[in-house]
Amino acid sequence: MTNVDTLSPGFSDPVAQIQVAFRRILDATAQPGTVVAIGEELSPPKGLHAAAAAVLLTLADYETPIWLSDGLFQGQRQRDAAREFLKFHCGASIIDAPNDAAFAILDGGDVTPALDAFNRCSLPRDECCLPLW
Amino acid sequence: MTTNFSSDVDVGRRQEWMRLLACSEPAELQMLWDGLRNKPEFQQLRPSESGLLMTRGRMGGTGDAFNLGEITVTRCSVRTEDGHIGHAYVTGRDRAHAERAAMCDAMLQDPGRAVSVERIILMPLRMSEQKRRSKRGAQVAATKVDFFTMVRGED
Repeated sequence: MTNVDTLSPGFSDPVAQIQVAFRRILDATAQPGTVVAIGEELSPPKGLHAAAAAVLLTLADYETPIWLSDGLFQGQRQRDAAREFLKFHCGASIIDAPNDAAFAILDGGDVTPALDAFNRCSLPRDECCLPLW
Repeated sequence: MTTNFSSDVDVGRRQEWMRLLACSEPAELQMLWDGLRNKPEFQQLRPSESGLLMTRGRMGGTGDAFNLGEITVTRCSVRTEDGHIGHAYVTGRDRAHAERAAMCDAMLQDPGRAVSVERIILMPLRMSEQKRRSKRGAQVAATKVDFFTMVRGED
Protein backbone atom coordinates (compact mmCIF):
# COMPACT_ATOMS: atom_id res chain seq x y z
CA MET A 1 0.00 0.00 0.00
CA THR A 2 1.21 3.46 -0.79
CA ASN A 3 -0.31 5.33 2.09
CA VAL A 4 1.02 3.33 4.98
CA ASP A 5 2.93 5.52 7.34
CA THR A 6 5.48 4.42 9.88
CA LEU A 7 4.83 7.10 12.46
CA SER A 8 5.20 5.67 15.98
CA PRO A 9 3.20 6.78 19.00
CA GLY A 10 4.73 9.13 21.56
CA PHE A 11 3.99 9.06 25.28
CA SER A 12 0.61 7.47 25.96
CA ASP A 13 0.00 9.66 29.01
CA PRO A 14 2.09 12.71 28.09
CA VAL A 15 1.60 14.88 31.17
CA ALA A 16 2.52 12.27 33.77
CA GLN A 17 5.22 10.52 31.74
CA ILE A 18 6.93 13.75 30.72
CA GLN A 19 7.01 14.89 34.33
CA VAL A 20 8.74 11.65 35.33
CA ALA A 21 11.20 11.94 32.44
CA PHE A 22 11.88 15.59 33.27
CA ARG A 23 12.63 14.73 36.90
CA ARG A 24 15.06 12.02 35.86
CA ILE A 25 16.78 14.27 33.31
CA LEU A 26 17.20 16.87 36.06
CA ASP A 27 18.66 14.23 38.38
CA ALA A 28 21.09 13.03 35.75
CA THR A 29 22.31 16.50 34.78
CA ALA A 30 22.39 17.92 38.32
CA GLN A 31 24.37 14.99 39.68
CA PRO A 32 26.80 13.99 36.96
CA GLY A 33 27.48 10.29 37.02
CA THR A 34 23.98 9.38 38.14
CA VAL A 35 22.48 6.73 35.90
CA VAL A 36 18.78 7.13 35.19
CA ALA A 37 16.48 5.16 32.94
CA ILE A 38 14.02 7.00 30.72
CA GLY A 39 11.99 6.22 27.65
CA GLU A 40 11.26 2.56 28.48
CA GLU A 41 7.68 3.13 27.35
CA LEU A 42 8.65 4.51 23.95
CA SER A 43 9.36 2.65 20.75
CA PRO A 44 10.75 5.36 18.47
CA PRO A 45 11.81 4.76 14.86
CA LYS A 46 15.04 2.84 14.28
CA GLY A 47 18.18 4.84 14.83
CA LEU A 48 16.69 7.00 17.54
CA HIS A 49 17.40 5.58 20.98
CA ALA A 50 14.36 5.39 23.27
CA ALA A 51 16.12 7.52 25.88
CA ALA A 52 17.11 10.10 23.24
CA ALA A 53 13.52 10.20 22.05
CA ALA A 54 12.32 10.67 25.65
CA VAL A 55 14.73 13.60 26.18
CA LEU A 56 13.54 15.28 23.00
CA LEU A 57 9.84 14.64 23.63
CA THR A 58 10.31 16.11 27.10
CA LEU A 59 12.48 19.13 26.35
CA ALA A 60 12.16 20.03 22.68
CA ASP A 61 9.42 22.07 21.10
CA TYR A 62 8.92 24.21 18.02
CA GLU A 63 11.59 26.66 19.23
CA THR A 64 14.39 24.12 19.61
CA PRO A 65 16.08 23.13 16.36
CA ILE A 66 17.41 19.59 16.51
CA TRP A 67 20.44 18.20 14.72
CA LEU A 68 20.67 14.45 14.17
CA SER A 69 23.96 12.76 13.41
CA ASP A 70 24.12 10.71 10.22
CA GLY A 71 25.89 8.00 12.18
CA LEU A 72 22.62 7.09 13.92
CA PHE A 73 20.82 5.96 10.81
CA GLN A 74 21.22 3.37 8.17
CA GLY A 75 19.95 5.09 5.08
CA GLN A 76 17.67 7.97 4.27
CA ARG A 77 14.47 6.06 5.10
CA GLN A 78 15.40 5.65 8.75
CA ARG A 79 16.46 9.27 8.90
CA ASP A 80 13.16 10.44 7.42
CA ALA A 81 11.19 8.27 9.86
CA ALA A 82 13.03 9.85 12.81
CA ARG A 83 12.49 13.31 11.36
CA GLU A 84 8.76 12.71 10.94
CA PHE A 85 8.52 11.32 14.47
CA LEU A 86 10.16 14.39 16.01
CA LYS A 87 8.27 16.84 13.84
CA PHE A 88 4.97 15.26 14.76
CA HIS A 89 5.50 14.84 18.48
CA CYS A 90 7.64 17.90 19.32
CA GLY A 91 6.86 20.22 16.43
CA ALA A 92 10.62 20.76 16.28
CA SER A 93 12.54 21.44 13.11
CA ILE A 94 15.40 19.14 12.16
CA ILE A 95 18.28 21.16 10.79
CA ASP A 96 21.37 20.39 8.73
CA ALA A 97 23.83 22.82 10.33
CA PRO A 98 25.03 21.63 13.77
CA ASN A 99 25.97 25.21 14.68
CA ASP A 100 22.31 26.30 14.87
CA ALA A 101 21.09 23.34 16.90
CA ALA A 102 19.67 23.60 20.42
CA PHE A 103 19.83 19.83 20.74
CA ALA A 104 22.14 17.48 18.90
CA ILE A 105 21.74 13.74 19.04
CA LEU A 106 24.90 11.75 18.43
CA ASP A 107 25.94 8.20 18.61
CA GLY A 108 28.40 7.75 21.48
CA GLY A 109 31.02 6.33 19.15
CA ASP A 110 30.65 9.15 16.69
CA VAL A 111 33.82 11.16 16.10
CA THR A 112 32.37 13.63 13.62
CA PRO A 113 31.73 16.45 13.79
CA ALA A 114 34.20 17.97 16.21
CA LEU A 115 32.66 19.51 19.31
CA ASP A 116 33.45 23.04 18.17
CA ALA A 117 31.04 22.58 15.29
CA PHE A 118 28.28 23.12 17.84
CA ASN A 119 27.15 26.41 19.28
CA ARG A 120 29.33 27.40 22.24
CA CYS A 121 27.77 30.79 22.73
CA SER A 122 28.52 32.46 26.05
CA LEU A 123 24.80 32.84 26.74
CA PRO A 124 23.60 29.61 28.31
CA ARG A 125 20.31 29.76 26.49
CA ASP A 126 22.04 29.62 23.12
CA GLU A 127 24.25 26.72 23.97
CA CYS A 128 23.83 23.42 22.31
CA CYS A 129 22.93 20.46 24.48
CA LEU A 130 24.62 17.23 23.49
CA PRO A 131 23.07 14.12 24.96
CA LEU A 132 25.37 11.21 24.13
CA TRP A 133 24.58 7.54 23.81
CA MET B 1 1.67 19.16 11.24
CA THR B 2 3.11 16.19 9.54
CA THR B 3 2.83 15.78 5.82
CA ASN B 4 1.26 12.38 5.75
CA PHE B 5 -1.45 13.22 3.27
CA SER B 6 -1.35 10.09 1.23
CA SER B 7 -0.99 10.50 -2.48
CA ASP B 8 -4.18 8.63 -3.33
CA VAL B 9 -6.52 10.66 -1.13
CA ASP B 10 -7.74 13.93 -2.56
CA VAL B 11 -6.93 16.79 -0.16
CA GLY B 12 -10.18 18.63 -0.93
CA ARG B 13 -12.29 15.58 -0.15
CA ARG B 14 -10.38 14.94 3.04
CA GLN B 15 -10.88 18.54 4.14
CA GLU B 16 -14.61 18.13 3.52
CA TRP B 17 -14.95 15.01 5.68
CA MET B 18 -12.66 16.32 8.42
CA ARG B 19 -14.79 19.46 8.62
CA LEU B 20 -17.99 17.43 8.61
CA LEU B 21 -16.74 15.14 11.40
CA ALA B 22 -15.46 18.05 13.48
CA CYS B 23 -18.70 20.02 13.15
CA SER B 24 -20.97 17.04 13.81
CA GLU B 25 -23.01 16.63 16.97
CA PRO B 26 -20.89 14.40 19.28
CA ALA B 27 -23.88 12.28 20.28
CA GLU B 28 -24.88 11.68 16.68
CA LEU B 29 -21.34 10.74 15.66
CA GLN B 30 -21.18 8.29 18.55
CA MET B 31 -24.46 6.69 17.52
CA LEU B 32 -23.34 6.30 13.91
CA TRP B 33 -19.91 5.07 14.97
CA ASP B 34 -21.49 2.38 17.13
CA GLY B 35 -23.47 1.24 14.11
CA LEU B 36 -20.33 0.76 12.03
CA ARG B 37 -19.09 -2.80 11.75
CA ASN B 38 -15.68 -4.31 10.91
CA LYS B 39 -13.71 -1.62 12.63
CA PRO B 40 -9.95 -2.09 12.71
CA GLU B 41 -7.81 -1.95 15.83
CA PHE B 42 -6.54 1.52 16.60
CA GLN B 43 -3.38 2.73 18.22
CA GLN B 44 -3.22 6.22 19.64
CA LEU B 45 -0.38 8.22 18.15
CA ARG B 46 -1.27 11.26 20.17
CA PRO B 47 -3.99 10.71 22.76
CA SER B 48 -6.81 13.26 22.86
CA GLU B 49 -5.65 16.49 24.42
CA SER B 50 -7.32 19.86 24.87
CA GLY B 51 -5.70 23.22 24.42
CA LEU B 52 -6.31 26.78 23.40
CA LEU B 53 -6.16 28.11 19.89
CA MET B 54 -6.20 31.78 18.91
CA THR B 55 -8.79 32.52 16.27
CA ARG B 56 -7.95 35.36 13.92
CA GLY B 57 -10.06 37.36 11.57
CA ARG B 58 -9.95 40.15 9.03
CA MET B 59 -12.51 42.93 8.84
CA GLY B 60 -14.47 42.43 5.67
CA GLY B 61 -12.04 39.70 4.71
CA THR B 62 -9.48 42.25 3.51
CA GLY B 63 -8.28 44.27 6.53
CA ASP B 64 -5.33 43.49 8.78
CA ALA B 65 -5.54 40.26 10.73
CA PHE B 66 -6.62 40.69 14.33
CA ASN B 67 -6.98 38.25 17.21
CA LEU B 68 -10.62 37.47 17.74
CA GLY B 69 -10.19 35.37 20.87
CA GLU B 70 -9.11 31.99 22.12
CA ILE B 71 -11.20 28.88 21.67
CA THR B 72 -10.83 25.48 23.28
CA VAL B 73 -9.76 22.82 20.82
CA THR B 74 -9.30 19.10 21.34
CA ARG B 75 -7.10 17.12 18.99
CA CYS B 76 -6.31 13.49 18.53
CA SER B 77 -4.23 11.34 16.16
CA VAL B 78 -4.68 7.62 15.69
CA ARG B 79 -3.29 4.88 13.48
CA THR B 80 -5.16 1.83 12.23
CA GLU B 81 -3.59 -1.60 12.36
CA ASP B 82 -2.93 -1.23 8.61
CA GLY B 83 -0.99 1.98 9.16
CA HIS B 84 -3.51 4.59 8.04
CA ILE B 85 -3.17 7.73 10.11
CA GLY B 86 -6.13 9.89 11.05
CA HIS B 87 -6.17 13.30 12.69
CA ALA B 88 -8.94 15.38 14.17
CA TYR B 89 -9.23 18.87 15.61
CA VAL B 90 -12.61 19.65 17.14
CA THR B 91 -13.78 22.64 19.14
CA GLY B 92 -14.64 22.05 22.78
CA ARG B 93 -13.32 19.53 25.27
CA ASP B 94 -15.04 16.37 24.12
CA ARG B 95 -12.09 13.97 23.92
CA ALA B 96 -14.18 11.04 22.77
CA HIS B 97 -15.52 13.14 19.90
CA ALA B 98 -12.02 14.03 18.74
CA GLU B 99 -10.96 10.40 18.96
CA ARG B 100 -13.94 9.16 16.96
CA ALA B 101 -13.42 11.83 14.32
CA ALA B 102 -9.74 10.83 14.03
CA MET B 103 -10.68 7.15 13.71
CA CYS B 104 -13.15 7.98 10.94
CA ASP B 105 -10.48 10.06 9.17
CA ALA B 106 -8.07 7.12 9.29
CA MET B 107 -10.65 4.64 8.00
CA LEU B 108 -11.72 6.98 5.19
CA GLN B 109 -8.17 6.87 3.83
CA ASP B 110 -8.31 3.10 3.60
CA PRO B 111 -9.81 2.25 0.20
CA GLY B 112 -11.17 -1.00 1.61
CA ARG B 113 -13.17 0.73 4.34
CA ALA B 114 -13.88 4.19 2.96
CA VAL B 115 -17.11 3.18 1.19
CA SER B 116 -18.85 1.87 4.31
CA VAL B 117 -17.72 4.83 6.46
CA GLU B 118 -18.93 7.19 3.74
CA ARG B 119 -22.32 5.47 3.64
CA ILE B 120 -22.88 4.81 7.34
CA ILE B 121 -21.32 7.90 8.89
CA LEU B 122 -20.72 10.72 6.43
CA MET B 123 -24.01 10.61 4.55
CA PRO B 124 -26.21 10.89 7.66
CA LEU B 125 -23.92 13.63 8.99
CA ARG B 126 -24.28 15.58 5.75
CA MET B 127 -28.03 15.30 5.94
CA SER B 128 -28.29 16.46 9.53
CA GLU B 129 -25.90 19.32 8.84
CA GLN B 130 -28.11 20.34 5.93
CA LYS B 131 -31.12 20.23 8.25
CA ARG B 132 -29.39 22.30 10.92
CA ARG B 133 -28.41 24.87 8.32
CA SER B 134 -31.83 25.23 6.78
CA LYS B 135 -33.44 25.46 10.21
CA ARG B 136 -31.02 28.18 11.22
CA GLY B 137 -31.48 29.84 7.84
CA ALA B 138 -35.24 29.89 8.31
CA GLN B 139 -34.89 31.35 11.81
CA VAL B 140 -32.62 34.10 10.53
CA ALA B 141 -34.74 34.75 7.45
CA ALA B 142 -37.81 35.27 9.66
CA THR B 143 -36.17 38.26 11.30
CA LYS B 144 -34.90 39.82 8.10
CA VAL B 145 -35.21 43.58 7.87
CA ASP B 146 -34.87 45.49 4.63
CA PHE B 147 -33.31 48.93 4.83
CA PHE B 148 -34.36 51.62 2.36
CA THR B 149 -32.93 55.03 1.78
CA MET B 150 -35.45 57.49 0.45
CA VAL B 151 -34.43 59.60 -2.49
CA ARG B 152 -33.66 62.95 -0.98
CA GLY B 153 -34.26 65.17 -3.97
CA GLU B 154 -31.34 67.54 -3.41
CA ASP B 155 -31.08 68.44 -7.09
